[in-house]
Amino acid sequence: MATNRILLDSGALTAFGDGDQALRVAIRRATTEGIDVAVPTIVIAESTTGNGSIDANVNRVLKDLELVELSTAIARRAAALRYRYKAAGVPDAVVIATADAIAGTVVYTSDPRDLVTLAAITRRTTVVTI
Amino acid sequence: MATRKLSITVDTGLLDALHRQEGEDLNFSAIVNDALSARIKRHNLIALLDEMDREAPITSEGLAAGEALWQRTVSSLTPGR
Repeated sequence: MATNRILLDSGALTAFGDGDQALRVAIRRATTEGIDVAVPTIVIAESTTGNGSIDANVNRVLKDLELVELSTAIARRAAALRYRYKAAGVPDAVVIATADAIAGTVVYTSDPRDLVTLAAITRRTTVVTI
Repeated sequence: MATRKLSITVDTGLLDALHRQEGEDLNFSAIVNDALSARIKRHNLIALLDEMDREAPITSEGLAAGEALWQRTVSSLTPGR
């Protein structure tokens, strides 16, 4: 097993918070095998509102997931990705740049279009649609 | 942050491999702290999943979809994909 880490994008994080069964099963399998499940902090900006009652489900799962801060190095890599694929949004570029930092990272997403294109630039990250 | 000094024993092969990968100047305290933190996080995540399963049990369809997702996760990383 070459997977080192699973990153959740905003769609996957929201689905997990909402109790998506397939995600719960897969995340349990990953965690049992010692694979970290993490969220780039930029995803919090996409997935929450600042309203505690609206964000309750997401906040509940966020407290037990690893958070990956946006470092200068990741921001630089994200910028380079966006330069290569200008249609990409900043959050998607940051998610792939974050994933690229550790070989063997898988990104879970509900909307793979731009993420797959970005991941194809560096070919270090695998995008899996939930 | 309060700290405590520990004496630990590590596998020589693993230590040599880590030195080859990351050089001789390793911060073992940071490495051990990261490992402890990750282990606690994993334990807490399993506890959360147990709680979610009690609230909304996984159906046979959900289990099948989850296993399929896991297999796609694993197979997407096999050599020669």
